[in-house]
Amino acid sequence: MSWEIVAGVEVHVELSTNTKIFCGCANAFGAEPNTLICPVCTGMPGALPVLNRRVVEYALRAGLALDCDIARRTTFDRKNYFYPDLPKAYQISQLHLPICQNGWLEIETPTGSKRIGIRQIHMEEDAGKLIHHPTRPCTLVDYNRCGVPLLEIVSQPDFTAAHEVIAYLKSLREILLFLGVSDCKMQEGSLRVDLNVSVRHKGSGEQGIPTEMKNISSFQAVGRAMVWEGARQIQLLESGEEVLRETRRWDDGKNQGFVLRSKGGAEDYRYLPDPDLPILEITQEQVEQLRSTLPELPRNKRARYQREMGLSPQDARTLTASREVAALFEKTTALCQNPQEAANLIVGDLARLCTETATLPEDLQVDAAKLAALIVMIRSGKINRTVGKEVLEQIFFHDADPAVYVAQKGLAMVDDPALVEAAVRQVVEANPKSVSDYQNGKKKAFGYLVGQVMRSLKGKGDPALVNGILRELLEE
Amino acid sequence: MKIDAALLERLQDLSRIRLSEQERKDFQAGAALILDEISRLSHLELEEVSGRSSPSRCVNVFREDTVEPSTDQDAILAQAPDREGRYIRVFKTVEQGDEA
Repeated sequence: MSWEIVAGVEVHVELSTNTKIFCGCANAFGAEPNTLICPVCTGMPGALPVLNRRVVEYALRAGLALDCDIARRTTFDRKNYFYPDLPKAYQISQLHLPICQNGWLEIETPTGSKRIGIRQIHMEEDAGKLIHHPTRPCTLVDYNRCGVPLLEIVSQPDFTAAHEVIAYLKSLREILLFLGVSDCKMQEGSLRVDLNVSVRHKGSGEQGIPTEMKNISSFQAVGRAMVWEGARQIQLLESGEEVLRETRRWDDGKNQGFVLRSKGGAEDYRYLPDPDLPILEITQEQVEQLRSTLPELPRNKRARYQREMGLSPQDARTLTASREVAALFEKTTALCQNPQEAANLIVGDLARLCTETATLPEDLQVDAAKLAALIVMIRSGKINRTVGKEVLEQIFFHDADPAVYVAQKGLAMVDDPALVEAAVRQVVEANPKSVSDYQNGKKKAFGYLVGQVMRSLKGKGDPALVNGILRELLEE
Repeated sequence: MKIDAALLERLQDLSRIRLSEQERKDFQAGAALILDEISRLSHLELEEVSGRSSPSRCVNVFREDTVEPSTDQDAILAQAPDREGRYIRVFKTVEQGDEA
């Protein structure tokens, strides 16, 4: 009988709030160690946590975007464990009444779309950062991250292939970015993935003993970890051994998982309701108000770009790869009324400039009004496409105004027939060989002559006019 | 509630504390007393009370997402038994394989 690997994922995302979840310390990455700390986030006796309103708002946004049921009453619990990353010796989390439950996310697979269940989303605080000394028997502790707000998004064990997990993670990340609730930077730890893997006989529907894999540093690595761990479990079971419920660490360099610890059950954490934090009540009205402010999500944008603007699926996908690029495209299109030209410019030359300068979408500072003006100038024949590229670079690097730049540099298209004709005549006289080649049937020579005319007009000649006049003269 | 050897072993594991034979005996006796005292709570009549009720009558208490100066950092760091620069230094308690 053949085996089937089954996986679920827990995604932790750090929320991009200004402050921590229960105190006013700044929520920032990369500060000097132990500078963003106070009595609340370091668990000093008598300090009282007070919930950041925006954390609840962000949790609800995520819950609504993932079609979850929103709890009318939600509470916080203490999860107790001893480890130096947690100065209070408990983490404030939500076990019994999480804020969101029973959602789903649809992913695209080679065999069509598939719905992945979201079991729950809950709010919690992050722990501090430990730096284990490589040679000495000591660990350095930085509590700046302690109390940074997290959402833990727990999927159902609905994945049966690595590519499904990767598609889910990409889609989830995209949604969270569009919602603006997290920057989802895996390299800074603001998006972390734990993978639960079990195996079963195909079609049996039974639930095997799952293991949990931590320390996975990229989406592709999640896929590799799932395949490796599934194979390990199958081998164990086929040789008559048992799978143990344990937490494992993924080492992507070695392409191998290592056992970290036997996994504690929920009872080991002795969860108890946190008496310091009052109950949270959420009204239908609040939920509906928030729902009305949700942005259009990437999947819907892609469909609309294709349906209403006639863009290709490839262009639609590239333009919705980030919130910033999608916003730039939409603003530019609204101003120039030409979605295809706006898409070509952004997906083509602008994307090339971003790649060449290693500019991330969130750092892209390009004024949509200037892009739109550039498109209008190209479409109306004020400048040709070669000049258009130069103007785009000026917008990209110097925030130049296209009309001003074109006027100052004298880049407007030469569309005066007398000027063009003079240039054409000069070229024809100077290149008798090419002219006779053309007249003897070598049509390629025409292109060469056009190039020479454009060169003498400094690249600004109106291409249609140049072609027309040159053809006329050659065929005289 | 009795604290038997197996439970004591589990508690040691979870709290990462190694006890001597004498400490084990003392802890077993002491913890049994504490648990007996706590178990008196189970005599309370709580059928009517929800396990999720809160001692506080407050609902929806929030703060706004505005940065306030982080205070008392040096006093907090002064509580640490050991330091290295602005880091707190502790014994390395790394589980097998957890070097990342």
